[in-house]
Amino acid sequence: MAGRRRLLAHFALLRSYQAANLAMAMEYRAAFFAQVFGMILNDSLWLAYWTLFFHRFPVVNGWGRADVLMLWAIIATGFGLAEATFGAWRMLANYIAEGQLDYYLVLPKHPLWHALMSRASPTGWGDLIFGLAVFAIWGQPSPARTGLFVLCALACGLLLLGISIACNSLAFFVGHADALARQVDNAMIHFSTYPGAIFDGAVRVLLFTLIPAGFVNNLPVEVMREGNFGFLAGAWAVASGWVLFGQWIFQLGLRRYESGNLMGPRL
Amino acid sequence: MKPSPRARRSAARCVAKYLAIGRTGFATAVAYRGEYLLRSVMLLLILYVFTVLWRTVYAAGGHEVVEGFALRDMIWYLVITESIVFSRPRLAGRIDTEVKAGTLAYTLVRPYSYVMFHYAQTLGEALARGLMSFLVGGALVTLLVGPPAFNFGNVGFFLVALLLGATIDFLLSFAVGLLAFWIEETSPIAFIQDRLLMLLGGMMLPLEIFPAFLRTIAGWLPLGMIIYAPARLLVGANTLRPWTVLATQAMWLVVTGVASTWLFRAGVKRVNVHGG
Amino acid sequence: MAAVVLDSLSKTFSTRVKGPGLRGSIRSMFRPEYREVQAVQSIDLTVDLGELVAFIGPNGAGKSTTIKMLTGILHPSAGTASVLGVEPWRNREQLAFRIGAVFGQKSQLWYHLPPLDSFDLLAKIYELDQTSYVTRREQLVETFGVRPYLNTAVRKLSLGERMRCELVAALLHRPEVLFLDEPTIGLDVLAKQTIRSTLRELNANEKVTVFLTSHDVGDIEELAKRVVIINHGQVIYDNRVSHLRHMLLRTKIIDLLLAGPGVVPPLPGVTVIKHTNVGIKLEVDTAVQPIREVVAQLLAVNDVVDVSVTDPPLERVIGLIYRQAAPQ
Repeated sequence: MAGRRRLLAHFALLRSYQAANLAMAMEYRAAFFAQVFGMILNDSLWLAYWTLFFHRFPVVNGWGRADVLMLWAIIATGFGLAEATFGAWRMLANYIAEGQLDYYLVLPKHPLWHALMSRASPTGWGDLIFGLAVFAIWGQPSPARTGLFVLCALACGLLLLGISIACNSLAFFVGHADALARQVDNAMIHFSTYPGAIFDGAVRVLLFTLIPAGFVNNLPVEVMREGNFGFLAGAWAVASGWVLFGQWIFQLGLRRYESGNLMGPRL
Repeated sequence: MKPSPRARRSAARCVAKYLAIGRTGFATAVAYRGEYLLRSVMLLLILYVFTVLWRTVYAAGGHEVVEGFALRDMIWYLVITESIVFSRPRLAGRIDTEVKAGTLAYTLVRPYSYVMFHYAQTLGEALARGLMSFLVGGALVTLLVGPPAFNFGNVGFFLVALLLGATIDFLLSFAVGLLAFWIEETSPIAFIQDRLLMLLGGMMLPLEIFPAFLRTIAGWLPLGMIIYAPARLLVGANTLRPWTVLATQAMWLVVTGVASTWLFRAGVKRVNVHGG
Repeated sequence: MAAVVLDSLSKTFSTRVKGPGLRGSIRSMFRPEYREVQAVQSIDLTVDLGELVAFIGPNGAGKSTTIKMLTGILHPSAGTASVLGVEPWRNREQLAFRIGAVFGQKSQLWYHLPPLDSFDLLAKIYELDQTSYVTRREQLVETFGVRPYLNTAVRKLSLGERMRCELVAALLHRPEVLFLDEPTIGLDVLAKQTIRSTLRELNANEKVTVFLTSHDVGDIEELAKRVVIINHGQVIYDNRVSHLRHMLLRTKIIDLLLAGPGVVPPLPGVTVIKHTNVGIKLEVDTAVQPIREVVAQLLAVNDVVDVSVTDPPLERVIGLIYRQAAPQ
């Protein structure tokens, strides 16, 4: 009962932070729209690339242009959602290293999620708009497909979020964890944006274990085209697992942080 | 009339000065190599995934050669183009900052040397970064697809084309930075320039892959002269004539040079009229 | 009724010591050596509800470490602390609803937004009921006089205006204990006075327990009723401010402006602070030597142009206390 009330309080807080971040973005309207536009342009570059590519090579290992477009729609939406709600997700390591966590520790909210939601990046909205637009235009949306699409995008976003939290939380244990985390995040995203079917052998195993991009870059074919609900369930399981794991690492690290031995006497 | 000994000496000193600046640019880039090599992890990722992609394409289609590229050639083409793009320092932003900060106004007396200063520095940096990227990327690609089969006869032309292409890129970025005299935020323009360069300049795909109409459009832009043309001199079946490439580059040099100079003079005039 | 109780509270940090160079790094990986730093050594302290305590000490004395243990950010190596009957690091989120903290490093207010937006956000963080939040906010806005700039972006406010908004933010949720870190730093005289008097009022009316760290002597003199001086991780002085002042009344400073080189008569209880060609500055412990006698002798043997007899600055007394060796 208390747990449920607490969860609701955190959702209410999320709403408030969204409002505050939006207000701040509107203060600097030009910069906000420039960033949103920039991200859409960036993503469109890849759209152009794949269009040219599949114009020349219509089918590659069972993948067509529609599938790759779907992949980008899923990733952009998932990534954009994470960026727009928990915008500090990729800088958590910096927060930890610079002691900014102290501020959140004194407030009556879960320090991890509070720190994450305190920032909402406008570029996230660019990705989100892009992703939804691509799905709307090329995804052959129907009620059923839209539902599937949303589930795929959410799984993707959660997976990226969980991995980022886990890697960034290493800042509690090692120095320069921010650089490490950034590389892992980049690798995850990069592998995710290419058709899953081109990877085989040892790499394929890697992409379903250490760098689980395989759970994203196979969604367009497995789920959206073939309707493989088992795969979707698997993706959700892995994604949720990573979020819980990430939170667990954070808690461990926090205990270590509270012993103060992290950086010596911070008098 | 032969130039006087004095003129010859001062010309030599001039060149020496800019060589020194270039050397500093090179040294600075090398000093930051730790940071840069970390960024190179991204380059390795990109090259690796591209290799996997193209391997699949070649195998699936049963191709040996696509538009004059064997698989090996295609990947080495990408090594070169990615290295060129990775080597570019963010010049437009730098110029923008200097315009806004007013430091540019102080060098009004000698605009010639202001441009040359940045040119020398940019080239020095680009050389260092490009070398590092090429070595790192090349090492990985050698492991993946084997050593390159370059058109070694064209190496000389390649190097000159690389230099001319870098100069065109420099003048373009310089011009974009100068727009700061009139525009509040030049970063969106620099951003678009970068993205267009990547696509229409042939970084991600050789222009041969493009459909005909897009090839034509790309042909009318200087972007291909910065990335695609130099790379193609070295890699792939010989379909580009070296002297044609150099001539086209020279033409674009003149165009971008004139445009930048005009922008510079106009900007300076504006500062004189409106203040810094 | 105690608000804050510290019982033998101690904190020792152990940092890894690494030898120089590569060999040192490798050695420290296999056989790590640790250096122990005792930041806080067994502090005993009780603060009652409604007290206003100034917690001072030189840099590195252990102030911040103690505050961090009281707010639950650090857990102690030994001993206990309880704030409002609860151990901070064990029940941090629960306690967070009842305490407030204003730290120097991070502002509670969003820089690019008006204070009002930050207040609304804090109301959500502390899960305040809307009606009571608004009432409380209006009351605080009146008390601190921040209405004129409630809707101005924080970045446009002066430091004094910002500080007052910070305090409003910190008090919105009616904390029972308030931790303030350098609240008047950087403010001009008028701003300092305003904040001090408002805090005094609040403490008197609402019985908020205030735990204040400061380097500003004025804060101690005008704001706090009790001062705790900490150095080398231990409490060196814990008493009423009036007592501190009483110690001062024993001491007087004599400032002489002379026409020629000065002579200081050898008297017990007299210390020379400064002796130049044009003047002498002396400190007199009036419990040992009546001031009248010292002045009389000085006037007798010196060609005095001007003389002033003043109370020593509180700083000097505190400085002396700082410099005392740690009690055993």
